[in-house]
Amino acid sequence: MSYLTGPPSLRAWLFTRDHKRIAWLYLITISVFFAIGGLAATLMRIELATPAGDLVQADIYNRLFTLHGTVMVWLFLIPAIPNTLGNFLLPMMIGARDVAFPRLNLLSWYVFSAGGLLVLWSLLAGGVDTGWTFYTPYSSTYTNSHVILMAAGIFVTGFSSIFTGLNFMVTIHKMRAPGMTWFRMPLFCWSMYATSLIMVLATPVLACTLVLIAAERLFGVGIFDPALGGDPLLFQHLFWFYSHPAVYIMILPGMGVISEIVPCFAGRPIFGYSYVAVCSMAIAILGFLVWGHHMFVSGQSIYAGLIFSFLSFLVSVPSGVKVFNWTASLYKASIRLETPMLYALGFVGLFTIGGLTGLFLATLAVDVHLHDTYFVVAHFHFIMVGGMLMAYLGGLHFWWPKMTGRLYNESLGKVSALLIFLGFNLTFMPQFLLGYLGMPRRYHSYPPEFQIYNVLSSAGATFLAVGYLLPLVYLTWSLFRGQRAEENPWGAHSGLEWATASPPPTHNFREPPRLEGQEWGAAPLLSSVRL
Amino acid sequence: MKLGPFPIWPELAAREAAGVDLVTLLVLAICSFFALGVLCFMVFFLVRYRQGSPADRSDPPTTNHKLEISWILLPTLLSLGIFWAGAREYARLYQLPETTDLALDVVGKQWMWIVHYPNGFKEINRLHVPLGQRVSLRMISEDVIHSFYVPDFRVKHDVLPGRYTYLWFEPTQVGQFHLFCAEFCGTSHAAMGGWVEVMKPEDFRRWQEGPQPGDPAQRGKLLFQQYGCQGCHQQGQLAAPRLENLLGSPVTLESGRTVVADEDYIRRSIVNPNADIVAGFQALMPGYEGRLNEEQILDLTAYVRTMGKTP
Repeated sequence: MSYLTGPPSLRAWLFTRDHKRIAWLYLITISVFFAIGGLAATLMRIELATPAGDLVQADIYNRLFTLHGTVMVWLFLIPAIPNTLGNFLLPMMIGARDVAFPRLNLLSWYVFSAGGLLVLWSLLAGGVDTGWTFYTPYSSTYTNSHVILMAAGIFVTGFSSIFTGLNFMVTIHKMRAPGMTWFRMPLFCWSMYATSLIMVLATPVLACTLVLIAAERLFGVGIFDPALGGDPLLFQHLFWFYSHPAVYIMILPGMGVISEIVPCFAGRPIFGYSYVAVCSMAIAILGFLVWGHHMFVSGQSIYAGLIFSFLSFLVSVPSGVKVFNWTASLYKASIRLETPMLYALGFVGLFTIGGLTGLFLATLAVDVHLHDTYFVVAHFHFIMVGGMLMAYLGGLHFWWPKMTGRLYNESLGKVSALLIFLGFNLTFMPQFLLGYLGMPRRYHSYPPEFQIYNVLSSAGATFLAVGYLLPLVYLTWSLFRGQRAEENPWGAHSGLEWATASPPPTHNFREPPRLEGQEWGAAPLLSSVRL
Repeated sequence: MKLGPFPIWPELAAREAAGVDLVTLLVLAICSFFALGVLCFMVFFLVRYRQGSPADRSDPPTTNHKLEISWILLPTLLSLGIFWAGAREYARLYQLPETTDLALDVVGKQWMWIVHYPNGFKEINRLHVPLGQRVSLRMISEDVIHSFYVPDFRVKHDVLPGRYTYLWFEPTQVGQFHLFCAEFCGTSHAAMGGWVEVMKPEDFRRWQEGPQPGDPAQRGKLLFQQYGCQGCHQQGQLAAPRLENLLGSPVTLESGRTVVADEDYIRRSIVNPNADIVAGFQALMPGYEGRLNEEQILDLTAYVRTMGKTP
């Protein structure tokens, strides 16, 4: 009896407490939000193909980029891996039957969906034009768009993050199978733990900040607007105190996925397991200390700038260490270039570029020139899309046979991976140049000398769009017509999820697994499992 | 700098720009080293250890502490070097020099830059500055946060409400350079820009002495800038009708009527713009009745007459 069998009623799905079914609820929901965010991006790229504001007027464009940012960050990227792959895999990877609090897990999906609906309502009501960053006093006093509604939506989805983070942390602490020591856990679990830590500690700050905006906007309480006696920079400190760590919520899970895919298709254990694990924690902790690097030109003191720049360079080191370890894991390997591995290799390349271009922005004087230009846009898209989205798709392809019990069309998988990689580079590489030439972000019309790179970028976005549509088609098709998958179709060796059926039974394992033998690293994990 | 149709590097039009570019190139060199290093190893391993290749795979190492320590330490040290280079240049950019040659006040408001000169001149969305002299800006916003950005000078600083911020630069090249607002500030954020015009010191002096008496079009141009008319009328932003070659041409109004834009039409559109809204535009413009006297309206009309005609 797999978790998918049973009465195919809507009720059975909407009231399920099975972490694997909740993963599917999330997967479907965030796919819808990804489509909405992607549509907004498409309209923006069409508008930007010419220097004049011709397809949409300024007000519409401003609403489009706000919608794109808000939906992609809070309704897609943050839940993307933790709530889909994380929900599905984490309990299985540590040999548990479910997460620690299955009802809370279901509640988190309802809360998330309610927040998402509020965001969509703000869109239907006329949209918001502040950008996803909601900088004050524009957002709190000046704009007449639907800030309160959207902020309420984000406030609510924040609780789903906190619930999930809490649930995962307790699960990892309390529900590991006998013999599953911390340093035997798959690296994906480490990345989930680090992510959960950030979700639990940072999200409340965002919630408070949004409440303060509402207080100023609705009741005229002077917090951020100097006209009311407030301080606009206070908002930026509070916002980035959440939103910089949130960047790591959006990349650590991706790193976890890559740390599973690479050793599988390299046919050998990962290199430097404990360093990769500890680096996840180092990133989570150091990530809390660098928020001020978003404010080098904001008017914060020069000395604050110096400290934040220094700490930002330190946080880059653990990410670098991960890249080196993934690369070293290819040494003396037996490499198979199947779809998940193509995504993983694409991730390593794009994440490396995304990370290194972050060094330009951490460098004080260079950031003065590059801040709020397209260089920043390109940099974080390399991390968020080139990194996280590639990892998400790679992970989805990797665990698809486990989740569905079906195999997808491998050739189409490879085509989509290549198309996305090439399309991505064509879209975002030109934006680095645009940024250094000085094109500011959030402009719907721009001086004509910037057009050539914008045309290239828009052309790349076309390939990217096709690349994203392909998996939707062949993965859906595989659900009905795909070849049946066996227990461990890839010959993976690093996680307990491969030691149970595809798709897994409702309680994950027929018997609780027990681990024996040596520490991890010396021998692949699966060889020491007794079911 | 351009490579065929591709611009690849912005102009170096101020003294501090070279320092910033040097730090950029340093970061670029170090980043390229790491990126290419990772790429080379990856490609090499992918080829050598592809499945089925005859390479030696005995005892693949799973950890090597010396290697790990060295690839922790090397990037840390290199990045501290970058940090120091960037910090030194930052302190130079953001600390006002003891003496400056020209001190300007800049007020940002939705959606224009207003520049005040020591001699009482006021400009909108345009700064005239002398070549080779240190110009300092004291900046403040009347509403939301803006950001004063001149890419070719490599300078940028946010402009806040309720608090002064400062910036300085020393132009080293004569010409016109983009001025942008870099911090999103509302509907017409993309239109909140203009030009920094660097002039030879003697030209600057002549400019500061004001327009030649007896040239109404020149006086009109100054008024046009002072009142920020070009914020909507001259940037191709389509917030307001274009004025080039307007005088004497037919105009279709929102009401469906067509009128010929004669001098009376221009005057009426300044004094009471909502009387004749041009088709496709909104009633955004404030009326100037009582704010401009008849002489000034004549000067403005003279300026509008020259628009679109090459001098």
